[in-house]
Amino acid sequence: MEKVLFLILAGISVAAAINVIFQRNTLYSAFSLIAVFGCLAALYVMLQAQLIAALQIIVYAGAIMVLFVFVIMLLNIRQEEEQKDRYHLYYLSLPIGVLLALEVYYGLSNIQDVSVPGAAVGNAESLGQGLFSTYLLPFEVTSILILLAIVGAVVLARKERDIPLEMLDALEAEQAKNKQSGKSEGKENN
Amino acid sequence: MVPLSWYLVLSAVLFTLGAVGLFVKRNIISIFMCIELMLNAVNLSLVAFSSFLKHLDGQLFVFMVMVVAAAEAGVGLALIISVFRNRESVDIDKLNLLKM
Amino acid sequence: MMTLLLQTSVLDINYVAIWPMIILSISGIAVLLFGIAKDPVHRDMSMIGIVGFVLAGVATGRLWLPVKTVGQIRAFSNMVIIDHFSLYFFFIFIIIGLLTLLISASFLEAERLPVGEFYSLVMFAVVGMMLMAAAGHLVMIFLGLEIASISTYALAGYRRNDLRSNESAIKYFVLGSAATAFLLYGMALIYGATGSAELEGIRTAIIDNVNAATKQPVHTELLFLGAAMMLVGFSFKVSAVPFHLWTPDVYEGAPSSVTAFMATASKAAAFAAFLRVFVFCFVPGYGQGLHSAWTTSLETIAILTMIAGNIAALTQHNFKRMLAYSSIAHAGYALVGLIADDWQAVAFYLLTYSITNIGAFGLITYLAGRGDRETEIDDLAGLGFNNLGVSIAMLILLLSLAGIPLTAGFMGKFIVFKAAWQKGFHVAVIVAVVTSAVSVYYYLRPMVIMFFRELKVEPKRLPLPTGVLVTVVLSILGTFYLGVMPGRLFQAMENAKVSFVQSR
Repeated sequence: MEKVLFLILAGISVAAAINVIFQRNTLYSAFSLIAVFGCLAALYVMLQAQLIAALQIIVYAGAIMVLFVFVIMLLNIRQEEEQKDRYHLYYLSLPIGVLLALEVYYGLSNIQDVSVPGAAVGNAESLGQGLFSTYLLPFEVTSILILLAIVGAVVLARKERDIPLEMLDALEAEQAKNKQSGKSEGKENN
Repeated sequence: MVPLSWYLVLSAVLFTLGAVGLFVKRNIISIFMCIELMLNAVNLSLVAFSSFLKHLDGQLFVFMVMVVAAAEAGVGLALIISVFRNRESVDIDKLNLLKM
Repeated sequence: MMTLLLQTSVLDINYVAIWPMIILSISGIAVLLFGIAKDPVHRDMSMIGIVGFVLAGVATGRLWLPVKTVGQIRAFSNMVIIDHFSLYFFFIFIIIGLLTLLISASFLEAERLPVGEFYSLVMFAVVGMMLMAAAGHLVMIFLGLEIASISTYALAGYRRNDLRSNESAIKYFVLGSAATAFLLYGMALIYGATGSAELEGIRTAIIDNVNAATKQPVHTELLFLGAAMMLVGFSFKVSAVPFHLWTPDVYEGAPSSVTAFMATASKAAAFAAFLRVFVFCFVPGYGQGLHSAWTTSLETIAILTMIAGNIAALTQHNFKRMLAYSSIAHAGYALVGLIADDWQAVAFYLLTYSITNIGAFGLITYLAGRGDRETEIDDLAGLGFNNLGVSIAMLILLLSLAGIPLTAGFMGKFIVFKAAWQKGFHVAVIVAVVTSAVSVYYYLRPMVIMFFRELKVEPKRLPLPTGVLVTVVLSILGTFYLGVMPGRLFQAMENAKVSFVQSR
């Protein structure tokens, strides 16, 4: 029964992942990706990792993918631009994919099934304990990560206030000219 | 009970699909989505290992991966927006100012 | 369950061990906050940054003696390992971070780019690199790497209006994230194979051949596959052939001072994590030939890297692009030290390379002018007549990069090649020596153009900014110091040899 469920979920997720790649419409491929994430969340539940499953839905499907969809809509990418994917690279990617798959298959082919006795891990309590004892430092370090992500995103996407270089050059020449007559701070460019 | 290797094979398939998408897609946003797919494939491996080994570290690792993915998405999409402003395009083949 | 109540002793908190990171994070935040003041003064912000780096350096220095007596300090449940290895890399990162601040001050001011954000991103990146060097757990390597990389993505795209900068940042971002995914997959597989994500646990599992969680033998195929994936990821990060294609584009397009930072600090950090995982965990004689497998494949990669980097550099017309290929070649030389299992040699090599390279890039920041518009090698024409001091400084630094005796570059190469020769990697060393001889050609070409070609138009260059001047002077002093009398440093590193592999 569980195996059937697994196969169904795996089938959906692989199909959706293939659609992510071969779909020409960016928006549809984003939706397919959300479907992959949903299937993965279900698989996490089967693995008794309930908290991670919830986080998968909330963080990945909920937050990150919404950001993606938002940006796709914001940029309003024209359809015709998506028509011409790199067909020649499909052939290139095939051997690479086969190579990677073979390599992975070699590694996973004779994996013996492990079963460690003991209660399942993955409920909120055990994760919380781990997060605030062993993983205390990584947990704190993520705050730096998030802070710098904010700084980076703001710096990169802020509405332009930069001055083009040519204008700066002209400004500087003017300043140099003014310097003989008097002091000018060059604040007029704001 | 589904054996561990099934999860690992699924994870490998998803990872490979993401890696293939990296080569095939031209749209930067789609490429970025393929990277997210790869990260998720890894997450599946981690969770599977964690629950089969009855070892918490894997799931805590996934926690960190999610934070990183969110941060990366923030910066990456900001970058894409800033490129789009200057070029009106998200086609990676048109980024050819620096010769390959 | 009331036992849940926090017992701080369980948490294994040790602030002393992470003081350098704490100081840098705080000063990074301070610079940011200062930036929102009404009329932030550039000089003050530089001052905060410099003071932050100096204090972090002092904190690192104060850890040296305790570590010497104890061997290593572990804190936060083995998340960080402070030993001489990590302290040594801390020094490299702090020096590079400080010099990066100094050389970027002038360009930020000239182009009216936000200053506070730039400085804080550099500082956070250095924090991430420190975490990588001091990591005792795969998750710390991953987080440190991401902190360092994400801030570098933002820095590479810092010149928002410049199409080249955009393009560089996008390429760096896409390929860097892909590399991270490979690295992460490797980590996951190694975790599954050994049943532990702690470096010490992985090492023990490989040595005892027992999976820490299942108590069964370590799954060799998974372990090999994981090591291979991590090898791919790290090769991307240190830009080794065949994963180097992003490097020239990214280095050319990014602002010069950011390129300096990427070419030195990011590379050193990647090597630090590389050493931590491969030399520390995958020890010789265990794991069904894992050690010989990775050294053999890395030897091939190193040879290819040296050949491809040096040959491609011969044909470049853009100075930054040439230095990018040269940095690929240098990564190859450092890999030669890595396969010899000798972290001291690699660390010393990275120090010499970083010190020299940051000076060279500092001069490029100045010479390229506003917006990095004059980065062609031909733009240097006639510099020798025009500005003798700058051209002589450039001459010295390029000679050091080429590895001429009496300079740091020579010493670094010598140490690395000697270590590898003793371990029996004769082919790699011979290729390294031959390719370094070839490299002299492309390092000499800019000099010939500087001194023997007439300048076409009189360039209107500003006076040398103080930050760049200080950086170049420090870098030249360091070049000669490390090249002529590295004895004391060697002594210190020789003493540190034990602490790296010491078990608890």
